[in-house]
Amino acid sequence: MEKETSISEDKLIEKLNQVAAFVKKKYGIHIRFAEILGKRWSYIAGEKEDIFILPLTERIKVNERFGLITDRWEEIPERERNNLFSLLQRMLKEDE
Amino acid sequence: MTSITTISARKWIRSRIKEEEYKRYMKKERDFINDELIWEKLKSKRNPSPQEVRAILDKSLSLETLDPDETATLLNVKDKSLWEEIFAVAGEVKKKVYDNRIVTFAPLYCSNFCVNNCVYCAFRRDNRAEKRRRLSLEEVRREVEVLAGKIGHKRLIVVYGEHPLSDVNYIADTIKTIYSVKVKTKRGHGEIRRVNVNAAPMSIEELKMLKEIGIGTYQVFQETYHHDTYKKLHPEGTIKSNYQWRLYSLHRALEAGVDDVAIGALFGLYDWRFEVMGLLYHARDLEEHFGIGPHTISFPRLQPAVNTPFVQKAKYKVSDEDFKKLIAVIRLSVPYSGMILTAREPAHIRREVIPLGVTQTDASTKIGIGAYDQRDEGQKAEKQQFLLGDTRSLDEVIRELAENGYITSFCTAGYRCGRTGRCIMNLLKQGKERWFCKVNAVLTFREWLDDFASEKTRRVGEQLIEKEIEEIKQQKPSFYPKFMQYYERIKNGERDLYF
Repeated sequence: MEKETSISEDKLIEKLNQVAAFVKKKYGIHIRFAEILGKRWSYIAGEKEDIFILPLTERIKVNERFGLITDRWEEIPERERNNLFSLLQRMLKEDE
Repeated sequence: MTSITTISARKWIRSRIKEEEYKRYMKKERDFINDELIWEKLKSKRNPSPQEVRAILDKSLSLETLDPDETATLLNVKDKSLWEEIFAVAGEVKKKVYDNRIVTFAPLYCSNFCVNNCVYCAFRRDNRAEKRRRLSLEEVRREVEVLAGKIGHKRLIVVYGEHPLSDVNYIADTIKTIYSVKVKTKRGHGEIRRVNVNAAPMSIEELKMLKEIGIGTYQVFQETYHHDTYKKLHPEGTIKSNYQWRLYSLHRALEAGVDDVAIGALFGLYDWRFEVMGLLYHARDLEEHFGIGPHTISFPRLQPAVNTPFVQKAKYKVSDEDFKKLIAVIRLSVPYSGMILTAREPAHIRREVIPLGVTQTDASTKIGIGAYDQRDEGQKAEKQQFLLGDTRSLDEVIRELAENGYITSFCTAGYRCGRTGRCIMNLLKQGKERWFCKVNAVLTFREWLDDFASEKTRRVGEQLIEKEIEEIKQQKPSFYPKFMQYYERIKNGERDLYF
């Protein structure tokens, strides 16, 4: 028997994986998404490989519950970065 | 004074086990430990050829989990020189996955009240010689002030007996208290950055509560995987007598979203080779269901305990020679898992087995309830679960490890960067985590040397650091500039910078 995940949880993971793949393809930037649980940032979706030019250690809170870990977030053009961030906030709010 | 009536304790006991939460993982009402099959495999793989053994060693070196036949083959090796090869490859596998670092931690026993009656354990309900105590939150705080402020630990494993006085609410409160303590040190501050939990099996709802607090690893040892032995040692009518409730506790944890879990067996309760097979089956079942194997594996040996005659009479005590073998075979069977060696073992054994694949160990260890703050001299058997074999200070242990080329790591970075669950498994299985291990070991070791080390240890530690930095520069040039920035900032008093 596999871990029971709700449909919305599966959908969220799928959507986050799509965002990570898009950012990687368009900007060459790697992203991993995590659920924030106190000190713990628990992996939920996105990059699993790690160790590229730099490791993913830049932690950015999307909201109180979710965050992303990346390598060169600031290299995404500001406007596109803000749009992406707003999209993530909406996505993760819906699924909270 | 904490007290609880017998009636309410009984009611609590009856409410613990939720069959529906583990039966759904069983196939045709059977769990994944098939005693007959394990013995069959151990018997069928007798007298393996050196070629067969070497092929298995190659598989381990490629960081693949072994299958039960392969592990059974290794467990059947008789030839001494072949065992030397096995020991050497076990060390290589460890280096490939975790580099030369040894993570250090301390156990913090919070309560020794227990409703179970396990014949080998000093905490058992009927043991009148054990002095019962549960730490108040203020006492927990004082323990942590010593651990983080005087000794310099960053990682704890908190331990609780199974009892309504140490239920999930108490566990949650103690962990929150631990995370809240910050102590000023010589050049920075001390704090506990990762709390791992060793507690009785819980329901999914309770495990979700633990998840919310942000625990590190959730650890439950099966003690023995052999069904009949389990039944004999855990008297009927106790919670612990339910083998499957315990066996599937980590399945429930993963289901609840706690994605770092740890397994273990208490060696000396049954045949050691059977237990190694049990651990392997456990790891494989977790992998099969969740794609996540055990974060760590523990392999404690039975130790003397107050008023516990079972230990002296135990039929399956593991010799030092067999202890080495079981550690090496576990290392080779589940290459990606961390392996925890504790201060149960005397110093000379620790020295001997660390090169066989150990990744974590404890020091300055006290296992009496409230023993750190009270600075208990020596051991107080009546307050402990068992007696320790090695009571050396962290400073001494670190110095010895450094002299032998091991860097002590206080790293707690992975679980704060999303390197948990499937992600960490992936990195470990590809041998990519070792670079994080190395750089974070150097950074945290620097912190500890500046804040807590004796002059003698500092000198030895700094020599080792120089070597490590050179290795990072040569072998991981892309990490080097940022690493050196962090390193300099830590030398100047900043704390908790990590990759």
